[in-house]
Amino acid sequence: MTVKPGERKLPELFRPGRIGRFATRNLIKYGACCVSNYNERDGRISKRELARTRIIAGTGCGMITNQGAYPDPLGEGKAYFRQVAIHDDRFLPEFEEIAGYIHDEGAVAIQQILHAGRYGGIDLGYCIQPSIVPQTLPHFRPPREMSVADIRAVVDQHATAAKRAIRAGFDGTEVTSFMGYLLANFNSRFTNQRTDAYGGSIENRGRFMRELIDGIKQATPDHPLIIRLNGAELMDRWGGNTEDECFELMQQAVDCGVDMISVTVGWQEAPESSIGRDIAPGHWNYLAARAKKLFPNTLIAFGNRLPDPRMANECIAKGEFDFWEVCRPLLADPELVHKAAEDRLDEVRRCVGSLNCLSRLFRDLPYTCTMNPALGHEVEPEYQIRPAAVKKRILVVGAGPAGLECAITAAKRGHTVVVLDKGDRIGGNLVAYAKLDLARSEDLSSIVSHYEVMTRKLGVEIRFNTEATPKLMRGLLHQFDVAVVAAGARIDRARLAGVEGAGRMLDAIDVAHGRVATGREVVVVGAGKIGLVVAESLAQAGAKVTIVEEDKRIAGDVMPSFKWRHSAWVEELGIETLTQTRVQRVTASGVDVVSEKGGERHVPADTVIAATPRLPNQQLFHDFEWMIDELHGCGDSLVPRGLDAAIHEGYRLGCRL
Amino acid sequence: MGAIEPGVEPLDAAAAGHWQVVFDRSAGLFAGLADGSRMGLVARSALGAVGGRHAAGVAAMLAGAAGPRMRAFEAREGAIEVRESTYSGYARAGVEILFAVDDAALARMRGLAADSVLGALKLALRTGDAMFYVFRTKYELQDAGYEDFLDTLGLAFLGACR
Repeated sequence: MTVKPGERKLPELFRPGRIGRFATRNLIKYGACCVSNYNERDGRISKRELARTRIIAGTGCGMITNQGAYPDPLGEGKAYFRQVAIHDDRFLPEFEEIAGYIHDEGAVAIQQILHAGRYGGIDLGYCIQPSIVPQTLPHFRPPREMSVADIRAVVDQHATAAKRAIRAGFDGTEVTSFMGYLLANFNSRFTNQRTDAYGGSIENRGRFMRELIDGIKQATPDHPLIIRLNGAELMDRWGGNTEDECFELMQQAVDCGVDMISVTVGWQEAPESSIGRDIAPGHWNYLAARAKKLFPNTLIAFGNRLPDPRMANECIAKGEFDFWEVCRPLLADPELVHKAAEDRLDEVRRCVGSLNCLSRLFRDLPYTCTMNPALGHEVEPEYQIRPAAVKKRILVVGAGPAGLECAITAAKRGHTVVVLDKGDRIGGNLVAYAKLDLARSEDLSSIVSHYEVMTRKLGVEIRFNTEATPKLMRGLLHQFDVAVVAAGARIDRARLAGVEGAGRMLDAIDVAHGRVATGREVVVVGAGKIGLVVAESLAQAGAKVTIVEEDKRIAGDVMPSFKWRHSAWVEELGIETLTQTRVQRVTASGVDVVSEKGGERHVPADTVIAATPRLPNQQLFHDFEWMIDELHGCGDSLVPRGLDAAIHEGYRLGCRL
Repeated sequence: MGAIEPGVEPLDAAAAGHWQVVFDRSAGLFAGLADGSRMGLVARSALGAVGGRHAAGVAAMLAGAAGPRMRAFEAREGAIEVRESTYSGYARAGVEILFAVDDAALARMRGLAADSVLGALKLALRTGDAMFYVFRTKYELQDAGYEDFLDTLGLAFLGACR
C-alpha cells in the first residue's frame, strides 16, 4: 500500500492499531462527542442523520463511534430533544445502515450507549439519579432517586442495548460518563450521596459502573467495550470527585476488563471551562498521560482540546495515549484526517471552539458548526459543492469572511472569482477582532489563514486597496456576470446624533484595527460584542475602562456559549458597566450620562469610543442594481450579525451561483 | 448519626439587615418578580453539600433534629423581604433557587458594602466558593421574573456549553 506524504510525517497516528479482535487502519477514533439532534422525536434515526453519518464514516478514522443512543423505553436516559434511541428492535434497520457505512469505509464501528441520568428525562417531568441532588442548570429536570430495582433495570437495559448494537453489525460498544451522565452520577460524590451498597465509599460508588461493565461484557462477550471516564470532573469544588478519585474509578474499570478507556474532562455544569476556546490545546493531556502510566495494558483514547493531528502524533509517540479521539475538529472539517494524510494540513478548516454545536443542543436545536455550513445539511443537494452548470465570472466586494467564503465556494465549483477590498489584506474586521480576542486569538486568526491559503490555491484574484465605488464599477462590472456585495457593516453613528459632542467619539472598528490611538481612561458606548472586545482588550492593556449600555444587559448580540465569558472578563478586568444608561454629551474631560431613572453622572475619560449597533453597508446594492446581470448580498451587509452567519451565508450563496 | 452543625451565616438582626439593604439597593432586579417567589441561602457547611454528608444530614432532619438555618428572600410587591427560616432538605426548602455559600465567602460578603454583595456572590458562584440549585425549569423561572437577577449573577449562561 502506498504511504501518503502526510502519513510519513505523522507515522504514529497513521500506524495500524487493534482493539480486541478488530484491527484499525490508524490510531484515530471518531469520538461521539455530541448528539446531533437531527433525529425523529421518538428516537428513530432520520435520513438527515444517515446522510451525516455517511460523511462521518468517510472521515478516514480507524474507529468510528456512532453518537450516543438512550437505552430505555421511557426516555429517562434521553438527554436531547432528538436523540437516537436503541431500546427497541424497530430501530435496528437504521443502525444496520450506519454500521454498514462505517464498515464500507474500512473502520471499526462502535455504538455508544448514553443514559443521561441527571441530564436525562428531557421529555419527562423528571430525571433519575443515584440521589436527589437538585439541578444547578434550569435546562434539566428535577431528580428522582433510583431504587436498587431501578439500578438493576438500567443495567439490563444497557446490556440489551449493547446486544442490539452488535446485532445491527457494530463491532463494539461504549458507555459514557462524559459531561455528567448517569455513570458519572454514580461515580461522583457530588451526585451520589446514597447510603446503601451503591453509595458512600469509592468502592460502593463504582459498583454501578462495575455492574454495567459486567452486564455488557456478559451480553456481548466477543466484542470490545469502551468506557468514557472523567480524568477530571471539574466538580470537586462543589463536592465532586478529586482527580485521584477519578483515577481510582478508572482502576476499577480496568479491573473489570474494559478494552479501552476514553479519558474525558468536565461536566456540563462544572464551574470551569473544559473544551472551549479559552482552554489551550494540550491543556488536559496530562490526564491521558497519567491514565496510560497507571494502566499500561489498557488502551487509552484521548482528545479533549487536542485539535491538531501533529500534537496527537507527538503524544502517541511519547506514550501518553494510544488513540487520538477526535470529534469537533471533524465536524468543522470532515476532511481533516485525509488532509493530514496527504500533507495538506494548511487547508484544514479548524474548529475554533465557539461551541455553537453545544449551545444549540441546549436550545433543543440540531447542532451546527460555525466553520462547516454543510454540517447537518448533507442530505440536501442545495448545500453541496457541485460543478457549476454555467461557468460565470463573479465579482465579490469585500474580503471578509462572508465574501471569501462565497468566493472560495464559487471557485471550487469552477467559477472565475475576483475579490475587491478597500483594505490591504484579507479577513476584513475579523483580523482585528481575532487579534483582540481574549479567549484564543490563534483560533480566530486561523480562519483568516484558511482563506489566504484557499484563495491562493483556488486561483481567486484579490485586488487590495480598491474601493468599489460606482465610478469604478461602471468601468468594471461589464466584465462580470455576477456581483456579490459582502461589504460588511459599520457603526451606526446616526444613533448618536442626539449626543452633544458626538464628533469627539472614536469608531470602535477603527480602534479594533489600531487605526487610532486611545488613552488611559476610556468610555465605550455600547456593550455588544464589538464594544466588549474593544473594552476588554483596552482594559487588559492597562486602561481604566467604563462601558455605557442603553440596554438592561451587556452582551446582547453574543452567542450563548460566550456570554458568560464576556461577563467574567468584564468583572475580572475591573471594567465598570453602566447599563440602562445613555450618553448625553461628550466633553474634553469625559462623558455625561443619564440612567433610565434619571440619575446623571460624569464619567471622566480621555477617549470615548462608539460601539453602538451596526448599520449594513447596503448602498452598493442600489449603486449596482442596473449595472450587472446578477446581484447578490451576504453577511453583515444584509443584516449585521456575526461570524457564523457570515460564513454560512457566503457558503450558501457560493453553492448556488 | 449526629445533628448537622449550623452554618456560620448568622441570624442576627444586623446580618438580616445587611441582606435587606443588599436587596433594596438592587430593587430594580426584583421589580418584576412574582409575589411569593422565594430564594434561600444557606452556609454550605450547614447544608452538608460536601460529598458524603448530605444523606446523613437529611436523615437527621427527618428524624427531628434541628435543621440548619436558611435565610429566605421572598418577593412581595416588587421588593424582596429577607426572612429567617430553617432548612429542611431540598424537597421541603420551598424555594425556587437555593444558594449554598462557603463560610469564608459568606464572611467576605458580610464585610462588604451592600452594593458589592451581589457582585461578590456572582464571583463566588464562578469560582466555586458558592453553588446554587434550581428547583424550577428555565421557563418557569423566566415566567416568575427571575431573568434579570439570574442574568446579573451570570447564572443564565453558567454551566452548559463550556
